[in-house]
Amino acid sequence: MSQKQIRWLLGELSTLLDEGVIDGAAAERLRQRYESAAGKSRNWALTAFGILGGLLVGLGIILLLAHNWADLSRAARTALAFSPLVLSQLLAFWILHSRKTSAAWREGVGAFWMLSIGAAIALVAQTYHLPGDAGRFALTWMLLSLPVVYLLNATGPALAYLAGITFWAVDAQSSGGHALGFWPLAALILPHVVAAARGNPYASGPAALFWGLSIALCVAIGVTLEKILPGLWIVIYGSLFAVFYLAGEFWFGDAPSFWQKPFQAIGSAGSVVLAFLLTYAWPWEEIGWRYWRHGPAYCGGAAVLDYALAAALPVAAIALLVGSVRRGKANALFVGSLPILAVLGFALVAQTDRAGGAMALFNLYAFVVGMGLLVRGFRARRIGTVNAGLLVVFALILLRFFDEDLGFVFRGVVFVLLGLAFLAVNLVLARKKGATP
Amino acid sequence: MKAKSLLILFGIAVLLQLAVPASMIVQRERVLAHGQAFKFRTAPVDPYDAFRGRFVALGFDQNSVEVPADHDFARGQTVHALLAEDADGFTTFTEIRRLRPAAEPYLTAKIQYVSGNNARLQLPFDRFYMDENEAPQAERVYRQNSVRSNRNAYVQVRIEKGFGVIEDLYVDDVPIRTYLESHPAERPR
Repeated sequence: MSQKQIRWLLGELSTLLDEGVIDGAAAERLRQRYESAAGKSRNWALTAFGILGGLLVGLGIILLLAHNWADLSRAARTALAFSPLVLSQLLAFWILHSRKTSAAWREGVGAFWMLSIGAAIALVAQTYHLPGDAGRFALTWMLLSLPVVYLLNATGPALAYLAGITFWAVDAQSSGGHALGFWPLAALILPHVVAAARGNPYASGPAALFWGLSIALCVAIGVTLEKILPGLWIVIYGSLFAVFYLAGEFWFGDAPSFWQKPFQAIGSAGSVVLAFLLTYAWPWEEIGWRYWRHGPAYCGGAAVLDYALAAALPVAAIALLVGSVRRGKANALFVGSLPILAVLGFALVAQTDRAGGAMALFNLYAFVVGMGLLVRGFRARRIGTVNAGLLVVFALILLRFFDEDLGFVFRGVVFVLLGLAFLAVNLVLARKKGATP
Repeated sequence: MKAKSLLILFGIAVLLQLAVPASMIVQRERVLAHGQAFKFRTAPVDPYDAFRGRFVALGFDQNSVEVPADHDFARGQTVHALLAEDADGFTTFTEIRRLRPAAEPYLTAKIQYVSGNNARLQLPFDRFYMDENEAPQAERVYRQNSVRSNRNAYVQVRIEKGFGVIEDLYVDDVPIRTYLESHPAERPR
């Protein structure tokens, strides 16, 4: 039950009591039962303010050090670099020693501890004029901060770690190297995520971790691909989004709200966006085995990951899809068919070097998904699903209406025919309804 | 987690968090104390890229080295460049090697690119940090003194076993902070 509903219920109690719907004892029992839940929001506020406090103090120290107190000797600057770090370590020791388990303390000190590590390395870099290698700085910082996550069991530092290693991966790949190191680095945070989710995976901490993890994965897969075989990203991302959605439905299908369904949300939104991209010609240009890339910027060894992902992800997606359909979840077909279509499209274009067929396939796919959502929404009387379906169909219509690659006559004929089809279906449905009132 | 293993992990984390910055400091302090001093003439910097916050972006005049015609050096490779002084006392690179030289002074750097029989090195120095109030002015002075017609700027670097640490940025043979103090007229506003 949400806080809003609880507040409503507590406000309603006196009316219910006055009207004789419930007696005084029942009202008191209800009040006790739900006021303790309302108390949780106070804990939440404490945690939020704890994080804000730790964050602001840490960031303030970084700014103060960044000013560059050039008049100080190098020894004084060294002392300056270490004092916030030692202070945060003492605070952490005190928390561990006194067994403070409140989230406010753990998260607040965690934020401060992590930032003070960054401040110490930054001040050393400034004092000795280290070259501006942002990726290396981030990597050192994140590795030194990893124990903070485990010692304090803190979510904020874990999210920051995910962001930091993703930044490192982007930097490493864009400066000519490869970023395969992202995967072992990400594996280091997994035990924390698993342990956090073991209790209640829908609590705010694990939910935030799942959001962070799935976003980091989406970015990192694209970044770490070596892209020697062009176009493989279509297969990989198509399968990744399907795996996200299907695995989310499989393990966390009974999540009560949108914010507790990060995998489903990112999987379905990603699928729709990818499907729309694939209705254009540019993703299909110069892809497949006729266009192998080589040169000093590409590492052949790192491309093994591309092939492994392109093989494993579709298989995983299809296995999950089969499982979902067997359990009678036909809805899974909407997102679940994306990897199959992506593989088909990629093979077709790679073989024929013509994009037309694949583009038509994905126009059809987006249309079917939109219509499917609409029909499902009408049947279940769920306005959200109806709106999502309308959004997909209207977006597709708009994109094609303004699509300069297609001729006016072609677009006109298709639009008129589709419109007539809709009207004909309506007519049939209206007659049926009239015949059986 | 049990209290004892938690304490051990805490101890390791604290030691590492202190040791990494400390070792960064010790390594550089040792080079500054015992390393040989070299002057690197700075080059004109691209004015659009020049000023990045609170540091002076450095460019170098001497950052390429001749390689034999049958070389097999590649982009991104880490090499050791032998150092020599030209007639004016500024540092030049004479050759690059894969293995660490035994006796001669050298600087370890990455190859930025190779074209023909010329390899361009990515020197491990690209910025000189300064006070946020002094940096814009220092940047301007530095730029005025590193143009082709007026080359009076250089950085002094201490190098030991291939590892270099910037000691100071010099303009007109004085450290830049001293130069700024003695040339208040060049302050903007």
